[in-house]
Amino acid sequence: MNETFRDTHARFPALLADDLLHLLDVTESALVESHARECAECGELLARARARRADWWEGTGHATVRALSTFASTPDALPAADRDVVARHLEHCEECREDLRVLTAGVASAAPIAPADAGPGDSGGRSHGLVWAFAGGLAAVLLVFVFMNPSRAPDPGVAVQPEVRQPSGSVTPPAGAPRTSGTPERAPVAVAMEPVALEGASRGTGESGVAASVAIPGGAADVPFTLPALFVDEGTTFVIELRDANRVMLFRDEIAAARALAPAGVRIPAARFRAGRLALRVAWVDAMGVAEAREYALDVSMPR
Amino acid sequence: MAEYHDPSLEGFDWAEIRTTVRRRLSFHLRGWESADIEDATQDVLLSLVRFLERSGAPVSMEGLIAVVARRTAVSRMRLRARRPATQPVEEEHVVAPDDGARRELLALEEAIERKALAIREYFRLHQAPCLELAEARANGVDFKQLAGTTGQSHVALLQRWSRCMKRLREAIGRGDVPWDRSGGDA
Repeated sequence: MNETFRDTHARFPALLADDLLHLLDVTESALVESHARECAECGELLARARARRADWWEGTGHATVRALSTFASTPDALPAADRDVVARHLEHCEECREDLRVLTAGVASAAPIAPADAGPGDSGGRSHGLVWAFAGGLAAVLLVFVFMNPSRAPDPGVAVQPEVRQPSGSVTPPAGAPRTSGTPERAPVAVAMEPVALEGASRGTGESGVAASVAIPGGAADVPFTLPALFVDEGTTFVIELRDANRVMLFRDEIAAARALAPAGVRIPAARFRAGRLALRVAWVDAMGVAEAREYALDVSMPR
Repeated sequence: MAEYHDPSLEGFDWAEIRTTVRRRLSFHLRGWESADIEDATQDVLLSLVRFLERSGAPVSMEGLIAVVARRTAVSRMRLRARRPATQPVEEEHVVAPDDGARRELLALEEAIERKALAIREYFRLHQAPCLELAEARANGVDFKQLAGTTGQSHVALLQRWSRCMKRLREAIGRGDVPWDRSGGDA
């Protein structure tokens, strides 16, 4: 076993990580391949990694659980550069802020450390400030949520009926949308639509992403959506809102989590849609009484 | 979990933790086969062990379990969505890697996540056009699909990505991006 082999072997996991993200140049990539052929252990890791995922970029771009946890509890234990990366990321990533909140649930309600106590360069104070600021923001969102839904806030511990409820009577119908009045003379022939998957659609604000494409064929009664995996507890109720570019509400409904998270679990009447860019907002209050929301951009077309 | 004797792992009721993890995964992965839930449970438990070995007791064990379980479930769902129909999920169980192999793979995943985050935040600060591409890839949107929705040409997007990677390599070389080259389990 020569020096080069030992050196490459020691660096192999780091090299492989770079290789799987396609960051290595041709020479370095060849080094990974040749070492994997010579070293059974590294060859096995390479094979397992390639079998595990075709594209290692997919699903990346979030702070690791360990980085979030360290950032919250002992930020000085993180190298300064890593700490800055996590702090910057938290400014933009709603998902990681939620994970941070869950990871630090005990910290947020404990020691009353005011952000003002920390000096400008005190990263520990900064992280505590962030936690408190985030907790305050959540409280504000929760208040708004409760005021918007005075009679429908989920009762902790009480099972929510799984059936889809009718939209609230306060919904503003879209201008020009057909209004139903009485029994139609002839029942329309319903056209079934493939569910629209929201995984990968842009979420929240500040994230440049891709809108989910929604092509509604003529005759479609409703538009089914499949929500991405969301962290919620049993008994959670989702509030589904469809809004246009001017934030005018086109549709609103409440659905039990068990139904909403099933494939094609969210169904919105086709008549509520209009062509163009719309926003689908999914909000919920979990069993701990914490309000959360995700927003997905939709590009709606209605081919005749 | 009795095979682990690290002091940082003592004081936890692993049978209870396993039950909690399985319950959470059963909820997130509703409708999945119990063998798949069990497989994901093993990944979550190993991730927890790795965390405890390297970082010690968390602020909230319940919170840690919830976050790791949710992230594992999301990852499993993404993998299943991408798996070709000719490669059934059950195939993994036939050649199920042992815990040591799983731990190596989890360490690799964490290293990649750390690097991908550093890249994303570097792009956010210095290369906004690259951020759009990196986020599309992270969301599982390929450049052909992105070209269709943004009106840009597929070739132009590939070329832009190539330039982004080149600039990134240069930035890493200059030390502008926090980067672990040692291979150590940082």
